[in-house]
Amino acid sequence: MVNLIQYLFAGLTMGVIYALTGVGFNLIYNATGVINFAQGEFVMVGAMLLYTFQEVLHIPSPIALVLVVIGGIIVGLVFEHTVVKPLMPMGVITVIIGTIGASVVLRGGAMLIWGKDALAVSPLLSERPIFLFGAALNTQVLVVMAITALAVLFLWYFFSHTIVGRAIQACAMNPLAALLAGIPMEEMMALSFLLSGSLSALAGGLIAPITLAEYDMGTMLALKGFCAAIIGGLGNNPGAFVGGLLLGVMEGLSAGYLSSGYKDALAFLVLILILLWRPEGLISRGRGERV
Amino acid sequence: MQKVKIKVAKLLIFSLGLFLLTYPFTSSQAEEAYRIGAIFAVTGPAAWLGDPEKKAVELMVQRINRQGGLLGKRVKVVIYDTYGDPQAAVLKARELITRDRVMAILGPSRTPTSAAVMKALQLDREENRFQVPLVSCAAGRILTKPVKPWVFTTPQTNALAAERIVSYLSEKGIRRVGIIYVSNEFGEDGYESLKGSAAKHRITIVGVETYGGKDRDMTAQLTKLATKGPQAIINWSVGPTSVIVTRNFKELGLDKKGILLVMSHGQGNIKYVQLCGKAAEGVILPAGKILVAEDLPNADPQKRVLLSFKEAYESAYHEPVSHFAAHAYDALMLVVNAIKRGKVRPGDGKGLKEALEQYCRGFVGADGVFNYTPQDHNGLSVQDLVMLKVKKGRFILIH
Repeated sequence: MVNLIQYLFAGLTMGVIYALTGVGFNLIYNATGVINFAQGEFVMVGAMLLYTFQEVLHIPSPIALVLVVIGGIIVGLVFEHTVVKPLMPMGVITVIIGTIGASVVLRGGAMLIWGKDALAVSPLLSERPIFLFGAALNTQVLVVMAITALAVLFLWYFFSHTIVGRAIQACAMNPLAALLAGIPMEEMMALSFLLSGSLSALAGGLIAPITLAEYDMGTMLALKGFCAAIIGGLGNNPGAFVGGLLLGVMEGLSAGYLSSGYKDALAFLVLILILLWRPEGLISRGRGERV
Repeated sequence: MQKVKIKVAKLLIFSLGLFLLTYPFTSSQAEEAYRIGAIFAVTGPAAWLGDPEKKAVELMVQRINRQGGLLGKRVKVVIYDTYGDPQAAVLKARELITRDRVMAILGPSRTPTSAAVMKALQLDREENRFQVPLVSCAAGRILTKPVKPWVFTTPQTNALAAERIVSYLSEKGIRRVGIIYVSNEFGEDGYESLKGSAAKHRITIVGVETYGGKDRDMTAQLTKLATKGPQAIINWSVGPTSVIVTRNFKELGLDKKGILLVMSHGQGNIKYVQLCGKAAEGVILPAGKILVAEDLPNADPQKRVLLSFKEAYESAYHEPVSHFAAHAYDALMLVVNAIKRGKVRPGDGKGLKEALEQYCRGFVGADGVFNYTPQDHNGLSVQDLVMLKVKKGRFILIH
């Protein structure tokens, strides 16, 4: 029994990380229809920035996190202005390929600035785990989970109850109609990159104490985060949250009961099955807006 | 007609003059110097290997030339970057032989790159068209087992490290171990070696778990292993995954349940301890003697060599000396030793290979005391590894 709970905790630990990255994918997809392959690198930059502020400059953690978010906003906006905006007229596919190029640039840049070694970041609360039902849980996981839940709530409110949020969604659903309705498309796109950049950087800062900060950590995160977003239905934020947790728990359980060697294979097998049978995602109510 | 002749003559005289002007510099230096090539992963994902290796070679070549060179001639070393990429390594190795006309190649840093160079240049055959020995800084079993005529290696192998760990555990009365390793070539080689040693010392392997090189949570695997009741858990990996295993092990409180955490020689690097923080306390691991050079007994034959290299390296580069620097140091010094004692002429790769096999017995290097023979191109033994324990953020010698 204790082991089952421990496997679940192991799954949740990775699950929240996937969930946060998945939500980052959704934000940009919802506004532009683009899958941003540099999403993992946004997270990496956040982790690296937290390392710099907290471990090198010795700024207290809460302030360091705020600075990380500001850094993420800058990265998101610069990314939007230099990669997305110039390529957008050439179509979504071109932008997607552009994001792949940008991810390589970000990774290489981070390697030059922070080096190739993994960097350790101390956790917000305490290094000692708490014990629930006899199983150990890293306190940082609780922090990540709480902040992810808050972020998902905020985003849900923002997109469904504020005029700006709805305007962003309108841009992706029907750009022409949005333009005719007087929605400033370019600003909305910038805003969505700002949101995604800041959230991803925050995610990076939060998970760095668990996973270490490393210049090439983004690739794995993007892959699994993308899986989370797909499982939950691309564009559906609460879906990505649940999808991420589901993916993590699945990995944890298969490492525990099946074989640790098949853990990743199982995750991707589920992804393929979902894409085959429920491409709109497990949690989606089958919205029909996008074809 | 006359004018043309004069023009041709002028041109001829001019080019002859030019030739004479450059001749003494280019050719005599090329003939007289011992030209040695090196290929390391100086940049790219394996730069943490290649960077110290390059530094060690540059440092030692400088020192040799300052002290009058080798058999009265200068040593000229040409170093290229492989980016850790097998294709680039092969390309650079060819360039070293055909353009730079080197008589030996030091490196590459990693097993895949070394194996690629070995295959491409046919160094695994006695007869090949290059006749240049490769002294690799990689430890993979494929490079030395069975012995490859033109390939030598300097690092302690997985098999030696595994034997060192298992014999130590056996002495401490531990009979049941669990193994967790990264599912790549390095981890699998380590696991196979552990299996062999465990059978020899009659130690039972109660469970085996694996993880991917990019995984960042191993609590599930460790929990599962712990249920099998091991007295020690041995982890075999390099890089950040070993840090995660160490942290997860402590988080789960497995040390409080009396289980010992053992790492491979891949963690013989103070950066590992720094990244783990307090979680590394009490971890034991095998390592080359360079990490604890000061603590070695004075009778240890390596002590003098290690201290001198360590001091030179650390004062030149202001960073702690590592195993990787030691691997490259040995590669160079073994070649230098073979040339000196075998009186090998510059450019004679075949002579050098034979000298390496004949004159490097009992050679005291940084990785250990080498005994190269025609049958053994690694030449190290279990005695060249020591067991260390992490205590208060540093390595201490326990055996």
